[in-house]
Amino acid sequence: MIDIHSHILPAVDDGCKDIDQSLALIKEEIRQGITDIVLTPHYRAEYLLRRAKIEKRFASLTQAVQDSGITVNLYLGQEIFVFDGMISAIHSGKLFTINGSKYVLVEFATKEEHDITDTVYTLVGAGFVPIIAHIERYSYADMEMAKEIKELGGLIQINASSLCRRFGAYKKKATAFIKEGFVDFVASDVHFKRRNCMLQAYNVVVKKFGRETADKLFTENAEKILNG
Amino acid sequence: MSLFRRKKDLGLGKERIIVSEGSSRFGSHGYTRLRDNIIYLNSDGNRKVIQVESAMEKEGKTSVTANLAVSLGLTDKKVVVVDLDFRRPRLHRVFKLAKEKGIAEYMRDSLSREELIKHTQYKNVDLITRGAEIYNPALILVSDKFKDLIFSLKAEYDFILLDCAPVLQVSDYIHISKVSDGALFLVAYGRTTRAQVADAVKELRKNDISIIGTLFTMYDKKKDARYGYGYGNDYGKYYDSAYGDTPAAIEETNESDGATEEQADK
Repeated sequence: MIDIHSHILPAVDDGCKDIDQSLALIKEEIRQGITDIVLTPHYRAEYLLRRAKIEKRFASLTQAVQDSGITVNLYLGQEIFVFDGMISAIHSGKLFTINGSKYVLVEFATKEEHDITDTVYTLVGAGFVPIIAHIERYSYADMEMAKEIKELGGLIQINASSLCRRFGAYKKKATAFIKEGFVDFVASDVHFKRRNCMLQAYNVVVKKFGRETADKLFTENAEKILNG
Repeated sequence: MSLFRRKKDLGLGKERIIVSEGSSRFGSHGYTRLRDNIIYLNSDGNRKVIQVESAMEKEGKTSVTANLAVSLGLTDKKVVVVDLDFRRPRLHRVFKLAKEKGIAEYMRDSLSREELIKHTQYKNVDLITRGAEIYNPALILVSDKFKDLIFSLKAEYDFILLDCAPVLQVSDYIHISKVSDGALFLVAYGRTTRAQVADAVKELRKNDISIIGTLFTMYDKKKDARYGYGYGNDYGKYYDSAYGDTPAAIEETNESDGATEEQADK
């Protein structure tokens, strides 16, 4: 499986505070069956780190992984909280797209309504492909919006944890979005201390929607964007 | 009252231009009729600035505004469409242009009038977008700069179509009415309730806003045949017609439940 959304990079956000925590999370990912991880630290008001610093962390993590003999493929990305000027920041190289590709992971507010489709339209117009992070978490996101996002050329990611719940709004929404064919990726959004349930989520999807769908959401679609 | 046949959509959010030269596409008949009515109403030249309104959101204001503009453009009328739905601007998408560099920047004096007016790929149709986010819509709409802009556009264009925010959601329509010659009021068939329509019309009238015409969007023939309408998401079944042969719908529109036909001068 491929995980396109994780907070495993050390000391850059609220994900992992040091390399030990990062390695612990990576080991858990591997245990769950994940072979490729995209590290997507937050970029938002509390975490406005410079590109160089993030690259430095990435280099040291990669080294640590190698030294530990862990076999995993790591890629760099970012989870960008939408803001004015985001596009020029991406163009100017201030922000990270997924593995340097045209795919950008974008996050929005959960309660206050953001004009998501507007952001999608603008990003697509600028030559990027936005991936909407954990859409099920946005109270104002509904089928209509998901459909419009897809029509405009955007992609949609939901969190594994939403599928692992027994009930609740996130579970309901996540399942409904998958059912309508609006979801492209399921990812962990893992932080230290949060339970990683990618494997469990995979099984939930297999059971409900079949193995073919599950493989698309957990592996194949991600493969496509990593290969450019 | 014109009726719009809208090709069956899979859902909302896909506003597009369906009018074209010599078009017999489904729904474009309605626009031809609407366009002719608008031209007729403006024969004295005092109905050129039109605010396109509806009670609620997603009733088709953007689609109608854009398609009407293109339709007018095809008759060699010079038209500018202005996106005044500041909270949910959509016009630029229909014309496949960027919304950046619009009213927001112009009002801040960081954009010239020339840069503000965008040319679309449609004959005689120009576009003014919102630009960056606007946090104080009312302040902009009541400002002299904004009023002067609209006034100056009148000298340059035959028609100025204003895509506005829903009447029942924000009160922008009140300020906009100070620069417009009247409102074109839209009702999404089978979706907007009578009470909503009545409230919206009441608001417009309360503010002395002349309703120069009303029309239904998202007409569903299938729904029409059954008695009563639902509040669901079942939109626009394609209905091919020459005008006139929709008696049931016309009967419906003659009921005065707040949606009325008022094409008089006020």
